[in-house]
Amino acid sequence: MNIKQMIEENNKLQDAMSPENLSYYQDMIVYIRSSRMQEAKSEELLLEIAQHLLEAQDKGRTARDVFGSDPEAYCKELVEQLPKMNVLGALQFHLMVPWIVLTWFFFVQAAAGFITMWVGGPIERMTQVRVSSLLFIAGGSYIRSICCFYG
Amino acid sequence: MTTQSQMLKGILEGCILALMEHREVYGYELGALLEDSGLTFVSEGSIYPLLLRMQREELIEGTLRSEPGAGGPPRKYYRLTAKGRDILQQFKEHWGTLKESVDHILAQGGPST
Repeated sequence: MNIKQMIEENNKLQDAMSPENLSYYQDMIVYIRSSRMQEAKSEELLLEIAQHLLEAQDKGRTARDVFGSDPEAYCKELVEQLPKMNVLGALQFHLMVPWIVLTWFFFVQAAAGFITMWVGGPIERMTQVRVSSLLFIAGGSYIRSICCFYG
Repeated sequence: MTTQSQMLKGILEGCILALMEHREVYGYELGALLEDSGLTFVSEGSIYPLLLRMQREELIEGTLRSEPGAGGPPRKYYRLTAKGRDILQQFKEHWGTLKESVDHILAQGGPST
């Protein structure tokens, strides 16, 4: 079962929840989906919890009875046990943004140089770039992306 | 964490392994089985963090699938891994020894003066 199918099943299960249970469950969804754990594992867990919740609901118990009064604290307990993104995945995640930004920088630099050459202007300035500028661009874009992600 | 809750956790883990020894079990069912056995110190929700840890330690493995015939949404069924079977065997032995020793002490009572 792929992630999309799991999310569809998940949505179907939510339709059957009482308003009180649904609100509790949606808090759990927010917490678990934003936890940066492997997506497939998170979805599998959410589906499992939704099933359990509905079976308890049939027996007249609420989400609060089953998982305690604090959904966030409970989810924290769960997330601690989930496998995190592997090392390669994490490395790709951290390097992707600076990599893309530098690629664009060189592309623009090359295009500008090409146009200057085409119109017959001086191209010396286009053929050099300071290492410090590159580091600044890479570092800046990295910090910006991290802020976006955690902000 | 207190020593008592550590001990209970170990016992609970052993019981979960034992309940999965002969057939696959899903989460809600597991909670009901534990409750029926009288293990009332286990809160229903606390089995999921435990199941996740046991999967990470490769004692059990779970598959998401629909019960054949019943249709309906898929459930996650758990079974023991080879490592899980070994740990269950160890648990049975430890429990046997512990139970014997404790029973022995309780039957004798304290030292009489």
